[in-house]
Amino acid sequence: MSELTEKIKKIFTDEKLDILIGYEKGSLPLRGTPCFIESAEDADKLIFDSTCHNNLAKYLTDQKKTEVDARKIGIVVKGCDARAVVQLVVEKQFERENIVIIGVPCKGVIDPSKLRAKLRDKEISDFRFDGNKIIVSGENFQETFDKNELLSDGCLSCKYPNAPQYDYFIGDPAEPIASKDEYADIDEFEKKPPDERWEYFEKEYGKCIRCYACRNACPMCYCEQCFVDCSMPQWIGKGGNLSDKMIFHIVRAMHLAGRCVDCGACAAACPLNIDVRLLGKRIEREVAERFDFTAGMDFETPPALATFREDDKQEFIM
Amino acid sequence: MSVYRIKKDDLSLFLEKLREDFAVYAPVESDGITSFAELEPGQEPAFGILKTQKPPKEVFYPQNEIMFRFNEEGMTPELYDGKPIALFGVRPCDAKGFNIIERVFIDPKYEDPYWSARRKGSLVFALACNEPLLSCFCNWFGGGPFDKTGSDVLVIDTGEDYLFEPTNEGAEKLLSNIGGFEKAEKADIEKAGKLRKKAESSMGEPPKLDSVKETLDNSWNSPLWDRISAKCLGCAVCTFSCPTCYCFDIQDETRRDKGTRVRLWDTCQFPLFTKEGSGHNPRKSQTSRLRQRFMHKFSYMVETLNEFGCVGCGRCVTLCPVNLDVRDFLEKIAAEKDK
Ligand code: SF4
Ligand code: SF4
Ligand code: SF4
Ligand code: SF4
Ligand code: SF4
Repeated sequence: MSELTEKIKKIFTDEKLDILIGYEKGSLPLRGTPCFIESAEDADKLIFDSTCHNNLAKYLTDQKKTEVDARKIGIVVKGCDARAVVQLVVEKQFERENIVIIGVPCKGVIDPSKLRAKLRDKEISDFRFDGNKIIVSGENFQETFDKNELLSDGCLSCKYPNAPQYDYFIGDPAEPIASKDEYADIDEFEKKPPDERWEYFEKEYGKCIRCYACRNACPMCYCEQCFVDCSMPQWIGKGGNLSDKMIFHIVRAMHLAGRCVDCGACAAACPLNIDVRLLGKRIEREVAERFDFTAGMDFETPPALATFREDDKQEFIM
Repeated sequence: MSVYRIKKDDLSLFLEKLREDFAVYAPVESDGITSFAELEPGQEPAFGILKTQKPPKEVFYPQNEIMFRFNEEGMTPELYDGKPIALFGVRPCDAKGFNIIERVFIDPKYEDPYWSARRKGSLVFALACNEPLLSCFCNWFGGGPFDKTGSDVLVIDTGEDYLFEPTNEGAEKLLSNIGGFEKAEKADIEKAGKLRKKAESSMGEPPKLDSVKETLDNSWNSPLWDRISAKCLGCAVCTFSCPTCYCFDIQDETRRDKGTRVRLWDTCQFPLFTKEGSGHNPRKSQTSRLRQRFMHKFSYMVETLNEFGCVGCGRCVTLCPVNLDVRDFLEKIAAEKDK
């Protein structure tokens, strides 16, 4: 039994949890998958490692939507997942006391869409971690990747690999990877002329098939009815129009201003490896600079967009 | 039907000749996405790709299809009138998928003109899979890495050559008209046989699925559905990428005084799919929506088409953001019988 399962069993019993949301081994190599534990014995199958890319906080609002009772839910969280849980509490999506936050140290997670892009159609049957390298192999091939090539973009510049708020923490806190400056990509991108930037977004969002996996994987996209799903009135076209696709992505980015925790769950979910992060990251910086606010750090600070200061700089109002 | 042989180096010449009368679609990689697209002159297909991220169904059934245009004066129908389509290098699972999805668009009483305009006169060249992937399970449903169902020609990669095995006279005639082939020799056929054995045995024994439909029909209210669907996000990844999913929506897209009526892919995984005008939604929960997907594929389609609505391509397995594996589901259901 690992330290993780042993401790979680105890927590499950001590806290009288009704359900615990964690990860188990997936059906494909390098894929962890969310799982729901209903009894302490069941905890044996839990894992946590770099294959656990989903943000489980997503399921807390799901559970709440279907349940009116006050079941006690335990959740295993990386740094970003924990921030999503905190932000959801701040946004009053559920009661803090019904959630037991169990932090685990995160060394970064593999983004399946990056893996897919690297491997193309080669399928791996085995993998191992060797320091900063990931060695993957399959029928007739072996390849070594630098871990940074496969980790989610957010992980590479993540400052909070450990839950900033938790009830339990299992293991020794992880060091941030910080192999990259947080806004380096944005700075680079902003140097480009507007046409080129626009072209980039046209190209990326043009590929979108609107499967809405990015939105649905996002813990902060919990609206009972998303604006794209409204039919009376219908806000945007459902067809292949580029402008409709753009509206979805731009509005989603705006709705996540000051709320996105840069967990990368959206990018990892996209079946077509579309860059859904860049725009949100730019807005995150705006919020950080103007409001001195980082989403999901504590339960007290009000959400950035719910504050008002008389001395707000309002230079955008002509 | 005979088997023909062509040197790999001569394939591009064959494709060039095929392009004279057909719009030739093949697997390509463009901007990081693998899909089927019409080959440009001189463009080589990306055969290294076993399964394209986007399914080849979009060639016959585009995600967004204009049905007609309209303005104040009236309507102008729009229908594909390009060259007949030849799909080169689809895999046997996808080729079989065309037969299944087609039963919806063409049945004895009704024929969908949009599907037919592209599909009629088309040719499917399936490329046998020498090395099936971990996520492949075509053999669960009577298919296989060398299966010919749904293809006009099965193409086998034997190393230096391709073997072409036509499944009907029309296809055989076409091959002889285009030319450049030799008759395959005994040694070629034996080689292909070995490749086939190797590929098939690499896939392992499929589970027994005979009881699946009956078990499902008796499990409508089973708590199993809650467990299986708990992690499902309700996105469209599995159904949009599925070669047998056909559901669509119809929308008018207008701009000032003109517009188009478009048919676009829809999915039973979206709440809006079943939302009624009154606001009532008979499939309120994701549990009920996932149940619909699995019931449709493994019970209703067995009833209406007499076969499972899954060809085991594994796209939904690899692309599902939460790794909700349809094989796990089927194994669970198959195991229920023994309880
Ligand atoms: S927008 Fe993406 S990165 Fe931000 S919280 Fe949602 S899933 Fe995570
Ligand atoms: S997951 Fe990708 S394809 Fe799907 S809606 Fe989001 S960006 Fe578009
Ligand atoms: S099974 Fe996977 S791909 Fe399908 S709707 Fe659920 S989360 Fe999306
Ligand atoms: S259900 Fe999944 S494996 Fe089966 S045909 Fe559809 S995409 Fe392929
Ligand atoms: S009802 Fe769902 S599973 Fe069935 S064909 Fe339509 S989208 Fe696919």
